[in-house]
Amino acid sequence: MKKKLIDKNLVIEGLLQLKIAGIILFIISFLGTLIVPIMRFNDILYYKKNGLPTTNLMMPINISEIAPILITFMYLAPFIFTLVLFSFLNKRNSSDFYHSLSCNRITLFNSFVVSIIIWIVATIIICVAAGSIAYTAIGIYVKFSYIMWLIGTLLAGTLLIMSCTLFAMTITGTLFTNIIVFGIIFFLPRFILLMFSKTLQDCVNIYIMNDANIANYKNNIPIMFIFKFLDNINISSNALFSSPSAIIYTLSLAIIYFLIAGFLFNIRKSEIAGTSAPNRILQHCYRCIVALPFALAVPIFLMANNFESRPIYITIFVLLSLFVYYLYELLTTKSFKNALNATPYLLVVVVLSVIFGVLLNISRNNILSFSPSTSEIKYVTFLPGDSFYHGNDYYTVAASNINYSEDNTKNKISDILKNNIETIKKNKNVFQESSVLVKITLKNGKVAKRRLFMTADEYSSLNESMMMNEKYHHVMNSLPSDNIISRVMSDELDDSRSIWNSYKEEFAALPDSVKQKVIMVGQNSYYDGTNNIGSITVMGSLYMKNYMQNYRITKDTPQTAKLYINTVNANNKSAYKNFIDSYGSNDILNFLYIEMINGSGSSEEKAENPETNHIVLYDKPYSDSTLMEIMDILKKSDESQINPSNTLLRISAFCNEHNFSYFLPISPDDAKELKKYCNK
Amino acid sequence: MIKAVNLTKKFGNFTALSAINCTIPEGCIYGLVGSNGAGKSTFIRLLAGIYRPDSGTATIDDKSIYENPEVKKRIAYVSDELYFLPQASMNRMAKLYSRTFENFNFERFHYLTNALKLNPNVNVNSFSKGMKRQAATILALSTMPDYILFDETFDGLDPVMRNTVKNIIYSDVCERKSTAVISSHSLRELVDTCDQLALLHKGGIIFESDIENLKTSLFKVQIAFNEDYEKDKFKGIEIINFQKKGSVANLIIRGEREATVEKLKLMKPVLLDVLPLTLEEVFIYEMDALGYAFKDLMI
Repeated sequence: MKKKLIDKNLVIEGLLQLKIAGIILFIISFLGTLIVPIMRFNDILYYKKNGLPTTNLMMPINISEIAPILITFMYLAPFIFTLVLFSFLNKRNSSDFYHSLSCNRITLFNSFVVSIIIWIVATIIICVAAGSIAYTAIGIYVKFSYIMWLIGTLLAGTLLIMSCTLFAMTITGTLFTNIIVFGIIFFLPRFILLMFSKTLQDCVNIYIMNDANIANYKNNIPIMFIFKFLDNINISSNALFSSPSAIIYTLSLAIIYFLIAGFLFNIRKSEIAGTSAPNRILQHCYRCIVALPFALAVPIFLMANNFESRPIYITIFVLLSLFVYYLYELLTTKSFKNALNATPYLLVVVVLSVIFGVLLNISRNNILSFSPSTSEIKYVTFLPGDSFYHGNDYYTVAASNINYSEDNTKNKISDILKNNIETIKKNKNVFQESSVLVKITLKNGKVAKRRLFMTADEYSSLNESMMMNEKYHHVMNSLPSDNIISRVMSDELDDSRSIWNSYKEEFAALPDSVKQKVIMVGQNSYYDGTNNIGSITVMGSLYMKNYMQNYRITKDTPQTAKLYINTVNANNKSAYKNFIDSYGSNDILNFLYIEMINGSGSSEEKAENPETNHIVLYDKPYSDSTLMEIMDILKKSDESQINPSNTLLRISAFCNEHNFSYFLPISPDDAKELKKYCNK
Repeated sequence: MIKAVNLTKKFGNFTALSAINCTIPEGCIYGLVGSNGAGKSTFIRLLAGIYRPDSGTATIDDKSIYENPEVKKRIAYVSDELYFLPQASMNRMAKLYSRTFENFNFERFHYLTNALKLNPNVNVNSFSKGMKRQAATILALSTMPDYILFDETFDGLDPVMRNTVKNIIYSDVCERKSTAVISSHSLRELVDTCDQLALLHKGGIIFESDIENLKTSLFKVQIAFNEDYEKDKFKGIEIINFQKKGSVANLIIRGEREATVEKLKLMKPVLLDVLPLTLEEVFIYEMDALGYAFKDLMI
C-alpha cells in the first residue's frame, strides 16, 4: 500500500486552521518591519530640516535591521502554529477524530507541517521584502546577500523551533507537558553544553570555543540569540545572521527532530491524548532530565578555581537535585509509592554527572596541552573583540581577515601562550593589562582559538611585529576599493562621488605618514576643525560586515580641498550673500560659528586652546555691534583668491531657519583682527 | 463485511479487548451492549482504524482497517465525545470532512440539515447536546459511508432527540444498504433499532444473537397441576428457568413454541398460559443460562 506523503486538501485545511494565528502574527510582523524604516525616514527628515549631519542615519543597514521583529517571529510563530495545529493530540475526542479521518498518519503530519511552513515562509519573505523596499525607498543601501542570509537564518531557526515543538507534542499529551518537554528538548542539551564550555572558560580562561565545534551554541540559531547575552564575547549583528555553519547545523538538527517527530507521530497511540507521559520509561527519563542540571553543578563547582565556599554550594545543589527529582514524581503521579520506587533511578543522574565531570577534566587537559612552537604554527589571525579593534571602521574590518605567518609574530604568540599556560597550571587564571583574541592555525591543519593575556610591553611589541606583515601594511595605507563602497557621503554635499574620485588620486600619492593622518581611525578619529577643511565618508560592506570610514580633507589633498570648497560655496552662495548683505535687518540669527583653518600655531596649541586661538562663536542677539564688526571683516574677503593651503574661514550659520556653510580666504591682518573677537 | 479475528487491545497492563471474534454482515445494524469498561468503545475505535490492534485483525472486506485510507474512506465514525473545530459551523465542518472523505455529498448534507432544521452557519459548539449529536450524525452520513460506527450515540439524549437520531441512522441504512455498528450501555436503546446484538463483558463477547431469534427463542409459560410436581415432570422440554410458588410454576423455555405447548397440554394442566418475554428478560435468562448474573453485566 503506497502512502501519500502530502495531501493538498489537508494542507489547505491546515492553512485555514492557522488563519487567525497566521493573520495576527503576519500583521504584527509586517507593521513591526515597516515601522523601523519609517522612523528612520522621519529622523532623516528631522535631521535635514535642522541642518544636522545625516551620515550615521544613512549608514547601510545590518542584516538584523532589515526586519528586526522577525527575530521575535522566529520564536513565537512556529511554536504557536504547531501548538494550534497539532493541539488535537492533547484531547482524546479530537485525537480520535483526526485519527479516524481517511488518511495515513504520515500524510496528516506532513500536510499540517507544510501548512505551518507556508505561513512562516510567506510571512518572512513578505516582511523581509517590505523592509528592504522601504529602506531602499528612503535611500539606505540594503545588500542583496544580506536579504538571503536573513531569510536563510530565520527559516533555519523557525524550522528548528517547529520541529522541537512537534517532537515534544508527539511524546506528551497535555499542553503543560508539551511546553515543559519542548523546553527540555530545546534548551537542555544546549544549556548543558553552555555550562560545559563556561566551566572550561572559567577554569582555563584562555580558552575560546571554535565556531565549527558542534558544542558551540553559536551554531544553533535560536539558542544563539538567547545565549549570546550570557557570553562575554562580542558577536557582530551580521556575524549572527551570516554563519553558514550555523544555518547548516540548525537545519540539520531541525530535520533530525522533524524525522523523529514524524516517526513518533506515526506510532503514537491516540489514547496518549490527555496524559502527561505515554509510558513509565519516559517518566523516568523526564524525571532524571529535570534533576540533571542541578546535579551537574557538583562537577562544575569541583572544577572551579580557588572557590572557598565549594562544599556549601555542592551540598545545596545535591539537595536541590534530590528535591526536584522527587517533587517531579510527586507532582506528576501524585503517589508517594512511585516517588519511593523512583529512588534507584537516581543512579542515572549520578552517572551522568560523573561523565560530565570526567569530560570536563579531559577537555581542560587538552586545552592546556595545546602549546605549539613557532615552527608548528602556520599562521595566526587576530579576531575582532580585542585591543586591536576599534569598531566598525574599514581598517578594523579589512584587517580582521589577515593571516600573519611572519616568524616574529608567530614567535611572540607562541611565547605568550606558553606563559599563559604555565600560569594556569599553577591553578590560577591569567590576568594582564592587555588581551587579544587569536586564532592559531597549525601546519597540521589543527585550529584553536585562544584569548591571550599580555603585558603592555608585550602588546606593543606584538603590534609592531604585525606591521611587518605586507598585507596588513598595505591595508592600513590604502582606501577601500570601489566595488565594496555602497555610498559616499559628505554632510555639506548631495553627491560626493567627484570629490571621492579626486581624493583617491591624491591619497595614492601621499607618503605613508600623511596617510595615517588623514585616515580617521582609532585615536585619530576625532574631527579637527582647525585643520580639516572637510571630511568625506565612505560606507560599504566587507566580509559580511558593514563599515563606515571617515577621511579628512586637508591642505594635504589640495585639489580635493579646492573642489570641496568650490562645491560647498556654489551650493550656499545665495544663502551666504543674503546673510552678509542683509545683516542689521530684522533677520533671525540662531547661531554663527567661524572656524579658522590652517591658521598660525601648532596643532597641539590649537587643540589645547581652540576658542581663544582660532574660533569665533556667536550666539548673541543680532543687533550686537560686535557682529557688525565681524561682518565688516568678512565682507572684505575676496573669494576669488581662495587657496586651500592658506588660512581659511569656514562660516557656519543658522539664519532665518536655514543652515549653510561657506568658505572664505582671509589675509593675515584680517585673521589677526578677527582673533580679537574670539571667545567674546 | 466487518470481521474481527482474535482482536486484542491492551492499555498498559490492562486488557481492554481480549481475542474477540465476530462477523458483522453487510446491511446489518449491529448493537454492542455492555457495562462501562466492557470494551465497546475500544472495539469501535479498532473498527474505525483509530487504534492499532495489539494482536488479531480487524478487517472490512478482508482488508485491514488501520492506516488504510482506502478502507477508512468507507467508514463514518461518531465518537461518544464529539469533536468540532473551535468556533466552527456545520458548513466549516462539512468542508473539513469533504477534504478527507472524497465521497462527501454536499447535497445530502444540505438535505439533512434542512430536514432537521439545523442552521449550518451557526457555531456548532453553541448547539445543545442533542443538536450536536444530530450535527455529527449528519456530517458522518454525508460522507456516504458503507460502514457507520456510532459509539454511545443515544446516551444522554431526551426521547425526542433519541428518536430523531435513530430515524436518521435507520433511514440511511435502509436507503443505502449500509452497515451500522451502534454501542450502548443500555439494552433498551438498541432493541428496537438493531438486527443483531452482542453483549460485551470484560473485553470479550459473551453473547451474540439475531434480534428476531432472540425474540422467538425463549418464551414464558405459567402452568399449574392438581397433583404435586417438580421440574423433572417436564423431561424432554428445554427449561432455562424454573420457579414454583404453590401449585403454579413459571417456566422459561427454549424451543419451538407450538410443539412445546402441545406437549404441555397433553399433561392436562389446570392452568396453562403462554406469556411474551421482553428482550431484556430474554437477555436476563440467556445470561443466567451462561452463568452470568445480568445485573453484573448491565447498568
